[in-house]
Amino acid sequence: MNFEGKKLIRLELSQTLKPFDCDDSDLNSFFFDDCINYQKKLLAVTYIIEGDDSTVAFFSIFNDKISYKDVAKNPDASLWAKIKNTMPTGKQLGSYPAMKIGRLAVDKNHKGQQIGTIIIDYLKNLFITNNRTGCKFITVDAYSDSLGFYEKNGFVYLTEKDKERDTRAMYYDLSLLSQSN
Amino acid sequence: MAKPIKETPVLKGKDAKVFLNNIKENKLVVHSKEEISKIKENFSKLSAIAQF
Repeated sequence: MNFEGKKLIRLELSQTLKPFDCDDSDLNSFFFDDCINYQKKLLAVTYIIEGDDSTVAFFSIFNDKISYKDVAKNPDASLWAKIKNTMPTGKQLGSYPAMKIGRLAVDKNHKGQQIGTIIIDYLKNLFITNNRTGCKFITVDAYSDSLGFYEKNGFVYLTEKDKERDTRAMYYDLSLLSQSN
Repeated sequence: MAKPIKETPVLKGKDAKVFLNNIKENKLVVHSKEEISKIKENFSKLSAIAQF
């Protein structure tokens, strides 16, 4: 993908959105009807790649966490004990900070150009090089038809319980990247 | 209005065990040099056009 003539901007509340169609009415609706409201309520921030006349892609991100509990009640206590020993002191229960990709979509005229992967790689690198508050995971509420895309980009499922649902919770461990650098 | 973004579930029982085990195993995994350079290259592409 050649980004010449394109820009990546942070959505402004007063912004006029340029035409966009990703062939998914729900994602189109999120872009035109909801992302400004998420931003107004300080729940999410949307970033847009756009050209002079149209929107190429957008992604909305917000703070998240991965929490766990009741692990010690599990019959396999020895495994839990081993896992606990691998964690830094003071981080033996509760949660890890994360950044969530709430929605990400690419306009149908720009599909097949790896733009989704470029966005994911941008976020991965951004959150290990310019991580201002601490963030160990990227999470995503992935649409069922994009599961393969996220798998290809190193995301794994958080649970099997949402297997039959229209979206699934997935995560990417940023440690994989930070320890590889 | 689009469907709301679902909250990330709180992991319990087997899910929590699998998750914590994956984190532990991830400590032994490193990305290939090719993967790292692809990620950095893609980061640079968007950084170059970022206006914030």
